[in-house]
Amino acid sequence: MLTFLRSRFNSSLVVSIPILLLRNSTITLPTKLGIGSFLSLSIFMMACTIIRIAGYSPGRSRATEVVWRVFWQYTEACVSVMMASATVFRKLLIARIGSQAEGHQKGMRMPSFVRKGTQEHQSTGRGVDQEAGNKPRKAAYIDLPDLPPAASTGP
Amino acid sequence: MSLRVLGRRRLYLDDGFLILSAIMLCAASGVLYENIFAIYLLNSVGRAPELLRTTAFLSYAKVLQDNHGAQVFSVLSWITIYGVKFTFFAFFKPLIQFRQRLTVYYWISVVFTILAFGLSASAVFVLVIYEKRAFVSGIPTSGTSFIFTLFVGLGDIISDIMSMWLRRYAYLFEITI
Repeated sequence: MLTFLRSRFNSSLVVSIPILLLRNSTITLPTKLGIGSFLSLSIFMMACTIIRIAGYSPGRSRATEVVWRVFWQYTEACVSVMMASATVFRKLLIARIGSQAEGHQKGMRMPSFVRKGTQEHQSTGRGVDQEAGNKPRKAAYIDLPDLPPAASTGP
Repeated sequence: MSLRVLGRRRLYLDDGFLILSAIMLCAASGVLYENIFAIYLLNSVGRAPELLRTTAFLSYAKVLQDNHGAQVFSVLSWITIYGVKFTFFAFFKPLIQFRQRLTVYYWISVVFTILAFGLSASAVFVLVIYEKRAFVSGIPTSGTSFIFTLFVGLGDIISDIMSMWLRRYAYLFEITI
């Protein structure tokens, strides 16, 4: 019994390591919860197996608990099919993460002259504000002048 | 399944395993529905073997001896459970093909899962022998059937952990890429 409990403890340690990895990843909290719930279904499957074995203990009544075994095996089968079907919804989560990462990469790939212009714009604004005696403001976006609209000219 | 077909425009190997699992689960549900009375009777005989000597059980003795509902259900449900595991194995194979160490781990997991499935399917028939013997003799089963159940459960859990490691690695891999 002690060996059985020790093996279960080791299994729980093995299972918890990727959860810690997921906790330290840089994705949003709802996405973490979504992926974590999908991954927890396999933990539920293992729990079903442990419960099925525990109910079959010969030390209690030395009886073949057929109903107990059938019930938990059926539950495990249903959860496994649900878990395999849930991978489709995982793709939706990954697609959302991909779009977020793409936007972040676009921000990272801003040309150097644009970044320089942004810094100059911020410093200029800060100087004007300081001259006027106001509190310094943080520039929220790059304020470029509008391009003139295209006009057709006749001969 | 419709999302899978519409999203990928064709059926892959993992879809085939998932369809097989779903069909087996439906069949197991039907078998369970048809044989639930005999399964409960078998369970009651296992709990109280002295019921076999009562006259009320004599009319059900033939039904119980000829009934294989629990065994058929067990085989179908094991095919369902292991079919889902092979769904994940087939799904994650393209993701690990350029990683040497993970490929070795992948094939070890596949072989272990095949062996665990063979053990589970064969243990059903071994348990049938023990349960029938217990039913005919009226003596409760010994610890041998429990040992078989324990090994089957351990194989199931370990193959679960192996496939879960692959899944989590693939999740993290896709997220960090």
